[in-house]
Amino acid sequence: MITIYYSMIPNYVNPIEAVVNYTGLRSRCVMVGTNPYTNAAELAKSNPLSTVPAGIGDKGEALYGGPVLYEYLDQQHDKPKLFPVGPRLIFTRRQLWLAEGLFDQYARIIGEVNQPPEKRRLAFVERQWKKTLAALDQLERDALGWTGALDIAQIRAACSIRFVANNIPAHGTALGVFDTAYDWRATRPMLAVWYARASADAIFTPIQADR
Amino acid sequence: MMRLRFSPFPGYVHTVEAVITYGGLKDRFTYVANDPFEPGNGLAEVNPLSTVPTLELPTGETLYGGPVIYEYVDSLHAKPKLFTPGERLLTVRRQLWLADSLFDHYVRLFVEGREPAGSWRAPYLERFFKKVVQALDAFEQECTSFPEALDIAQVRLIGTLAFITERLPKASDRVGNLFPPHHWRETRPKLAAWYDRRSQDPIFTTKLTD
Repeated sequence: MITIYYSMIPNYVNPIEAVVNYTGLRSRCVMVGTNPYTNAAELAKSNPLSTVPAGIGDKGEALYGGPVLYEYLDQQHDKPKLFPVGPRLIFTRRQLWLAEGLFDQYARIIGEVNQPPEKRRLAFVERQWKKTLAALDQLERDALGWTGALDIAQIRAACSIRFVANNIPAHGTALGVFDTAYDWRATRPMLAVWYARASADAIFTPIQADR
Repeated sequence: MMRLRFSPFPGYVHTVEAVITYGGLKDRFTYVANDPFEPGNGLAEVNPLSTVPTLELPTGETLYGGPVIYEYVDSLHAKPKLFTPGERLLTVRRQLWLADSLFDHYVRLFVEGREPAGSWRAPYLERFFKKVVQALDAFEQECTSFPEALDIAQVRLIGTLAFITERLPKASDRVGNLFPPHHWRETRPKLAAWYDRRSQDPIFTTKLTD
């Protein structure tokens, strides 16, 4: 069996859930819901970075770094690969890196939301918000080529966009740095059309944890 | 020609430089010095994440994310690949992720020192310092099973260790020792011996720019 550690977030589907769904490996996976902040020591037993998602392969091998875990699962099934084979793969990896970056850079804003108002670093929030917008702008250009089957970069991008969009109203209100009603679709028509299609895929269904 | 943006440091050879030297590809690139922390550095115009290294290709496409660039450069030469083909590759990718994260987490500790004294965040520093220590501990165990041939994880790890050896204790000083000064070699004899031997390779001492 493959063990997968992930954190369930309301109204959100992690890319690892989408990848497990896509690959049809649910019956081979033990899904463990966890919190990387409160369960850091537990996670550290197989992952020195104490991050999620992480996993333990069926030969006992440690798997961490989202893209590493996605690639491991992608090697275990016979459907068309999420990491496409051939010369375009390096560009898929670049897009995957960007989509990961969109999530990670935006998520750092949450650290400021969680600070008392007088201790918040608003200049830092502004920088992170700029990176968020720039990443979305690049995805708008990338979406021009996203006309065929879903690949790993698109899965990651769909999840990251949903995460950002879900959080803008509350974070905008708390911080006052960006517009609470900011609509990422307004200036990114290609990305909006792609997202409407991609995010309707059944692979973006939450997975209930086994423990 | 490809255009590589990175931030040269005196006396330090970046991982991307080591990979280019390994592949014998120095003349295929032009080199642009870019400080990712300097406002108006032009980086954001080609890379939305404003990170270094960034590689601009003649086709107009841009690559970023160190590991993405290393893999692209590794595809351009005919020597044994640093991204080891075959079953080991996923282990190499996982170790590369760890070595890359070790570097990034050091940078987080360092950057906190740019904030005004009194505003430093002890829980944040403790959390990332712990990850740094755990990553180093993991490599103390794993280095004994590194293959003799260099792979990209080892190259990245040497690049990271070369960077943090003296800087990590100084990063502690910058934040009033909110995390302890850490000298990784003192408690990790296997990693230190491995590093001393492998870092002698000329790819780690050849700078691509003056």
